[in-house]
Amino acid sequence: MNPLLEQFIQESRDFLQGIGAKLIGLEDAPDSAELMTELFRLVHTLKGNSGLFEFPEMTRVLHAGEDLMDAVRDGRVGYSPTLADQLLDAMDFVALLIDEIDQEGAIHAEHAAPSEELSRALRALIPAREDDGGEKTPAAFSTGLPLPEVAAIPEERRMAAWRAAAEGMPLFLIAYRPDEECFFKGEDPFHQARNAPGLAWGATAPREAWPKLMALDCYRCALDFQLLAVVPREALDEYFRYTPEQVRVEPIDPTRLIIPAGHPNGGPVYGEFVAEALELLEAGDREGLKAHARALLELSSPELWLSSDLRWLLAVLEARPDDAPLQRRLIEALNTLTSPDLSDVAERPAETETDPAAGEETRAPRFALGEEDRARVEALLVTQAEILDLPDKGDWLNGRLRSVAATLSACLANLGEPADEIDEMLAAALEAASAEPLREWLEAYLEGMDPGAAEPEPAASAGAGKAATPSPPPPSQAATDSVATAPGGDIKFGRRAEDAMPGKVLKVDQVKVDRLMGLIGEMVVAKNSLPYLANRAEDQYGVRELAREIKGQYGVINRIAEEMQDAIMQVRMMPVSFIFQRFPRLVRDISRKLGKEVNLVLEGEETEADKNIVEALADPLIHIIRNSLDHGLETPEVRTAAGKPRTGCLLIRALQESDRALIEIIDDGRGIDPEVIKRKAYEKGLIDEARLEQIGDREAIQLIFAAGFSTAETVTDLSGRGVGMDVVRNAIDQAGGTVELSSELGKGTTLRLSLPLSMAVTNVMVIESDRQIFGLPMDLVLETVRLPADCIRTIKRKMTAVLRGRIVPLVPLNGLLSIDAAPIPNADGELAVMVVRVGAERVGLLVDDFREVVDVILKPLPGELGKLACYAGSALLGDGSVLMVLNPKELI
Amino acid sequence: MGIEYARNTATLSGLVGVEEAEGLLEWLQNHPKGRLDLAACTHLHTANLQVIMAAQAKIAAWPGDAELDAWLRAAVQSSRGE
Repeated sequence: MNPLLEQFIQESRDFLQGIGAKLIGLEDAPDSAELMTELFRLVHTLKGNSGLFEFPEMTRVLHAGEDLMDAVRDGRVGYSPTLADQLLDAMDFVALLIDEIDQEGAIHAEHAAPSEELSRALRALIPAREDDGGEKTPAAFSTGLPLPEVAAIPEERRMAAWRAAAEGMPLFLIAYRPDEECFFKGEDPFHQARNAPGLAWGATAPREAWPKLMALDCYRCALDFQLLAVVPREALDEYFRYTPEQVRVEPIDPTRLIIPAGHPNGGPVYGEFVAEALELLEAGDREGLKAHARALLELSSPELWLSSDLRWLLAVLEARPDDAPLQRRLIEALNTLTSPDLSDVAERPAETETDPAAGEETRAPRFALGEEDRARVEALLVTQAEILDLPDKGDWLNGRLRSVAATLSACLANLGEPADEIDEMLAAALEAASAEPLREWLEAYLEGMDPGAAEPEPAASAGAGKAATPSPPPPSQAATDSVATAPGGDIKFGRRAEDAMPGKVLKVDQVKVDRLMGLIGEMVVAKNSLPYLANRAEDQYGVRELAREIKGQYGVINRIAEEMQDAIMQVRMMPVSFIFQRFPRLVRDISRKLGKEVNLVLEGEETEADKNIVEALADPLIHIIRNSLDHGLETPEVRTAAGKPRTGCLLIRALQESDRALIEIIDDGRGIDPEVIKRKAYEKGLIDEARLEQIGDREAIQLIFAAGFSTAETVTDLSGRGVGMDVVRNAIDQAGGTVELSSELGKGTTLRLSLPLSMAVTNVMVIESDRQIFGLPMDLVLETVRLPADCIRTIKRKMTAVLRGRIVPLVPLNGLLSIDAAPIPNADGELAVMVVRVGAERVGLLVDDFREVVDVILKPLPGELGKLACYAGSALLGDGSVLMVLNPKELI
Repeated sequence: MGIEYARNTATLSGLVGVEEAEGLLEWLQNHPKGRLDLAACTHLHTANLQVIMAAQAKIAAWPGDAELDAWLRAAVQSSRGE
């Protein structure tokens, strides 16, 4: 999982918690504008964040929530507990999604429907504004889309779909009305429709009559699409997950596809065929029936209604050889040449909004019969009883019995009761050639169903409210959906507030970490006192044994303290990507403005350093990048003329080198011309004439770090005001770092920043001068040497020495500190020289003696003492004494 | 791939993108009797489709792509008011 997503999940959990708290807070103070604004802000931010990722389900709900909050904030809607409930539900849903993202990295498409439902519920609470007639909530209309007319679908498409559905695939009618503006969002609805999963048929039609061709706006989508798909629901939800509000997907029963169509020619002529076919069916001779149907089909014109019906019959015989009732209907239909009513042989209840004339009595969904439907079924049963009461005679008795039995089975199925008994009764009745067995059974059943005696079916009571809604979901869907719609229309997500898992990441105030850091610092100091103690035990009290044990203990504590220190450092560590991430945009903007082409390369973004260091780096780096772009890189024309690639390259690389973080900024621009720098520096009075003569190229380019230096001919809004590199150097200095600059004319410039990984513990070298001890930061110390007095030469009354082939000026520390004492040589007459780096120069400090190197917590000097720039700060030593740490840059 | 306009026939080939719609519309406005050759067309953007439908353009050659052919025939038929 990428860090951005991780952060998003973390933040979202915080936001959700905040939203929950605010909502609860509003229950007590519903008029608090402050809480409301805060709530809006939270929802708004969360929505915005979710938009960064591909989580349309989440964004949709949050967007609806945001709109609702906006309406509440504007006073268009009053705050109410219902509203809070709705919002809390929505937030529970979002939390569920976040959990899923956390665990699986993505959201399942099955959440699209509940998300749509939730956002609709939220929007339903927003009253329509009078002034925005055009801006209707788009979510509302998808349920109202007209579904495709099944009869309009070509027969072979229907048949293919039916065959696939007969094998158990669910079948869906889809109406898709793309947004009018969708072309501008890069959508191609036609493409979307053509590639819908499991597409069995599709067609498109204009929404309204076409305008005159001259008035046509070809970039406004005016087409609706209608599709028939044989595919699992999830696949469709997934496919249309970005635009669920534009799509209406309704499951249909496969038998609804069986609509024979054609010229109603012929008629009763085929009576003979029907009788024979029925006999064959009765006898269970499928092959015979098939052959029979095929023979007739060959003789008939394919356009005839009859042929169509036969084709269907053959298809049914092949795909569902055991579905005798269906086959019977198709055969019998030949008598009338009208479409058979197949509703009661349907395996699943059909949609309620289909043609109500077709078998409406038995059409009611079996799982939720309303009072009215129940009464109708009862009436139907009574009618059947009347039919059975008719005198038993004639050839049609068998047919009548069968039809009554079929009706009864269908009724029972819709009442949710087993129909096995009826089959038994039917068999008995057929054998006895009498309606008696069926009649008796039905009478017994009707008595049991007596309103007073009838035990209320569980579904009937729950379904009472449900029956009013136009399209209850079929039972299969309700059962499979993990997010089920419970009776009463409430949406529950199987997730309650108490389920919420706390995140694994702690957000801690930086002050607390700093305190920990301070404490571990004290610990390091305290630990450092143990060696002193050991020495005292040995020297003063002569207990060598104890001294050794103390040293052993010191080793243990030392190890633990170091690990602790490391652990706390880790807490404060931050990747430099934190500041690197703004560079691409910065570089893009600046290079645009300057008309330059720059390719920015970032490396080592994962390099970590202390938070303070990383933060301190941000501004200097921005300065440096601006300078590189403005002064360093050339315009494409100049570059091509110089034989370089048009596009300049700016490389920013971070790496860790032992305990320091290095950042290199390398460009392949024109480089720095030392001559120009020298001249400019002289013009600005930064150097005098003498220095102008003697300064070397390497030193000259360092002049760009001098305060008030600028080379740009004109002052731009980017750089050239003489504020820049000196600011950079100061900032880096303050963070305890160094800047190195190297440049080759015409080839490019390299800036190298070196920073400590952490500022908490400073490594200092302790030195002695005039019987006092002082500290010097180790990173400035280049070497320590002992020089015999005769190696020191005096040039113009200044002491110097040649060290490693370089002339190093020597300065007595006592002199710098205004201590009136000469450096004390050791027994061999050698002077202690500590070579330190001051800027780009080396200076030898003459001291009395070198001591050890210690880790100290450097504390800035308090109050007025803080103005003494020659001290970097003070530190407490293990033996309790105070060490003043010098700042050689200011000192010399 | 896109549209090539000849004097009286526009030939659509390959994948005809959304940016072609304006040109097609203009051409059909100026050439009410213009015919379209879709034989080599594999897909056209909805915007083009609706221009063809609205103009009730004459089709000189139907697409070779059977699926697109079915869509188009049905679409053109429906826009002619059946």
